[in-house]
Parts: sequence; C-alpha cells; structure tokens
Amino acid sequence: MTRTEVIAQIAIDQSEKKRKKFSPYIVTVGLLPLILLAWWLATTVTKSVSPILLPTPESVVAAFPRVLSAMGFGDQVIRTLLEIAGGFVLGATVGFFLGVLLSSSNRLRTAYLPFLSALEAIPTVILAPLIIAWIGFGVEGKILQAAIACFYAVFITTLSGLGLAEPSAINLMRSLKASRWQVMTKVRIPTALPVIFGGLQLGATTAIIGAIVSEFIGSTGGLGYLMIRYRGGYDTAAYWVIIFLFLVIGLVVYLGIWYAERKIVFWRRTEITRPDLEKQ
Amino acid sequence: MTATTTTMPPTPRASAPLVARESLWSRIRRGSLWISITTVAIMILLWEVIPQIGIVNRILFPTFSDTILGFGQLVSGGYWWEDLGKTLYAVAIAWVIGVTFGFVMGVALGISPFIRTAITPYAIAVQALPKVVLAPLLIGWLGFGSESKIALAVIICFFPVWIDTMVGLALPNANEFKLMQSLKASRWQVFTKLQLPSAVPMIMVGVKHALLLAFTGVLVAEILSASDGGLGKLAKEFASQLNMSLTYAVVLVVVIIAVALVSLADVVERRVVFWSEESRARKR
Repeated sequence: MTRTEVIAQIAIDQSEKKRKKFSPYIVTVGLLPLILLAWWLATTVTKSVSPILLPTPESVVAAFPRVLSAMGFGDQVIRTLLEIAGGFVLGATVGFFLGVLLSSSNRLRTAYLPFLSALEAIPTVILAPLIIAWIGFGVEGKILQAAIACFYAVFITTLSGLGLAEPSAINLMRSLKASRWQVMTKVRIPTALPVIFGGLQLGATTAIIGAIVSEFIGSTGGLGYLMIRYRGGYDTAAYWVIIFLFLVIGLVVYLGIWYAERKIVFWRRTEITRPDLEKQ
Repeated sequence: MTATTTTMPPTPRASAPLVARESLWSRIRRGSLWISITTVAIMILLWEVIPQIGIVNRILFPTFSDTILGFGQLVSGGYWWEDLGKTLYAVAIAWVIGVTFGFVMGVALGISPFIRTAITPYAIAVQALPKVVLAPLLIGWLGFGSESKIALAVIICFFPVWIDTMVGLALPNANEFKLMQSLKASRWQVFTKLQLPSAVPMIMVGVKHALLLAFTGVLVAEILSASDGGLGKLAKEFASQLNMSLTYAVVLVVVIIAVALVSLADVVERRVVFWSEESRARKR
C-alpha cells in the first residue's frame, strides 16, 4: 500500500464508522417482537386471518404443554428423527460412493451425464405413493423416501467437487509416485469437501421434506401423522406447535452441518463475504 | 476495520457436474455413447425380465411392457388431458408468482448491505423450515381447488429466487463499486449497470430451481388433497388401487415433463445470460 492509499483507507474507515451507528443485528433482534406483534394483531385483535390457517399466539403457547405431554409424543418424535437420520445416512452414503465411482472415469461420466441431468429434474415426491404400495406405511418406507430425496444432492456435489482439484496438484502427486488412492484421499477429497458439505446441507433439508411428505400421505406414526390428526380435529394451535418443532429440527440439522463443516474443512471457508464492504 | 463478513445462508445447491458437453460424434468415437445405450438396454431388460421370472411380484412391480400398455391406457382415458392440464397450469402460475415475489423481495432486501445482514438469520430460518409442513393447513384453508396447490408451490419455490437475487446483487467486488462511485454513478445506475448484470446469471439458476420446486409443490398438494385432479392425484389413486402399471406410467410422465422443463429452462438461460462466464466459455 502506498501512503496515499493508506490515508484514503483510513478516511473510508472513519467515514464508515461514523455512518454505522449500530450493528445490523440490532435490527434482526428488533424484528422479532415486530413479527410477533403483527401475528398478534392479525389474529387476536383484528381477526383478519382465518384461524384455520393461523391461530392466535396465545392459543399456540397454550397448546405447547398439551402437545408435548400428550401420550406417546416422545415416540412419535423419535420415529420421525429416526426416519430422517436413517434416510440421510443411507442416501448420503450411496450418493457419495456413486459420486466417487463416476468421478474415477471420464468415459463413465460422459456416458451417464444425460441420465444425471434427468435425475436432477425428477420430483421425488411422486414416488411416495409407489413406495407406500411397495413396502407399506412403516418406518422403512419413510427411510427409503428420505434417502431417495437426499441422494441426488450429495451425489452431484461429490461428483462435481472431485473434479475441482487443480491438475497441477494432481500432476505433482503423480510425479511423486502417488497411487490413485493417495491422489483421491490427499488431493481430490479435501478439495471437494466444501462442495460436498453444501450437498449434505441440501440433502439433509430434502431428507426432512421426504420423510414429512411420506408421513402425510400415509403413516402409522410420526410427527407428520400427528399433524394430519390435529388438522383433522381442527386443532390448528397444536399443528403450529409441531411446525415450530420442525423449524427447530430443520435449524439444528442445518446449522449442525454448517458447524461440522467449519470444524472439519477448516482450510477453506465457503462463506460468502460481502464484497461491497470488503477491504482489499 | 470491522470485518463485515456476513454469512449469507449458503444456498446449498447441487451444481451441474463440470463435464464439457461433447458432440455426438466424439461420444461415439470415445465409446461413451455405447455405454449409455447399453446401460439403458440392460436396465429395460432387467425391468422386463425380473418380474416375469417371479423374483419380485409382478402386481407390485410391473414390467416395462406392462408400463407401456399402462401408458397407452392412461393417455386414452378421458380424464387424462384434464389432469395433465390442471397440473401444468398450477405449476406455471405458481412459478410466475413465486419468481416475481422472490425477485422483488431479493431486490428490496438485497439492495442495501445493512438490511441484507439484518435479515440473514430470518432467511436461514425460512430455509431450514421444511415448507411442506404447511401443505395440510393450506389445503384446509383454501380448499381442494387449484388455489391451495398454487399457494403451496409459491411458498416452496420463491425461496431460491429470493436468496439468489440477494446474493447476486452482492457479487460485484469493492473495486467495481468504487469505480462506479468515482464516476458519479447514481444508486440507480449502480443497480442497473453493475449489480443487476452480475446478478442475473445467479438469479437464473434460482429461477430454474424454482421451476422444479413449483412442480414438486403442486405434486405434493395434489397427492395430499386428491380431489381436484392432477398427476399427483392420479398417481396416488392408481397406487392405492394397486394398479401399478398405471402408477408407473404416471411417474414416467412426471419424469418426462420434469426433464423437458429443465431442458427448456436451460435453453432460455443460455439465451438470457449470454454474457456470463459460463456461456462465454461454452461458445469458445
């Protein structure tokens, strides 16, 4: 940096400091009571929103202990979590290994590329009625549905991530007599991990969706089954309690994978910075 | 300097594999086309033979020829065109509404870095919530007609457009912003001449993704409400009657439509964002 640049930098920094009186996260926190207030105004006060869609906040709060202490509630939660976890692990494992397999051969990759683009397009929910007809309303069907839903994201991110390695790095490894296995574990997979984690994050979200949809359509238990039952009894407040539960599940899974990525892939941050405020 | 790196919800997305498109001729010469054809042939053969020789139950797993017959039966049924039309109509309307809504929201919330940072935790929450949980509620509220389908599909599909618009508008780097400012560009000029052109390729990805999500949303609503018609309803009804060859046929149709929609979106994308790096690389 030349001296003029430094001076200009300081001037910019100071002007920005002056402009930024408070952190944007104050607005974030401040929005929450506003949203709750809007909810309260729309339901309790003005009654402009149908209670079938959105119940009053009071009734939802009152419904919490009722839903959480209902008979067998814990079993339903565990069942749904099991379906999501089982489907995610199954789908992600298959996706990862298929991705590794296809990335090992250029010819295979070009041969199967058209089918892969087709796989991307398929809305997997259409398979839900089929799967129920095949293996019934039990846990296995939900796991299969969740696995199918999350398979593609992990597979395709593995495949494209493994292709990201620098050719020069691979050449260096080869010239040092590294085996294919070593090139894979020391260069290709480390380069691909940030991308794969993106796929895991998307895959986890879609696995949750797969499990819920399958439970909605027909199930002998689980949170989706409970929701259908509550809606049938027009107990919308209880329904919203489970929506919040799913929000928590979704956030925990999402942020959990994000956290795992930051711990495991410490050598590369994939976060998107704000380039417009970035300093060179 | 305060490090103002904000973590936008890292929109996880399965990007297309980095494989160059090859001409038909080079695919034949290198043998990859033969692998494709052989694979398809083997799969159809297995599909045909395995139920025939009784490894799996033919009623639950109809053969390829059963499925083709089921397809003929499906297309000649009087309900077919109506159900197909209902699904496509709902997807189209929901997609247009979702994309418009997502874009407007993305511009409104993405134009200022301050608002963008403030809104990020909420965006993450919206992303983490599996939005299909709203399906039974929407059906209960809006009834079994096309409104509930469209509403669910809009809620599901606006999200990627919103996030991609927001992220896309933040893509130009600090130097580009400074150049614009030093040339006395107005806020509007910065937006139309710098931010928007660099955001459009990203937005187009979201728009394409939204098309598939809208399709998914419509199918979920149809499978769940099962009275207004549509492909989802057909699949569910045939499956519950254990009429599996017709169910297979409906699934096949859904796959074909989805692939066609994506290919169409690809073509449009290439026309619209001819200036993006990717398109330029393709022309070279």
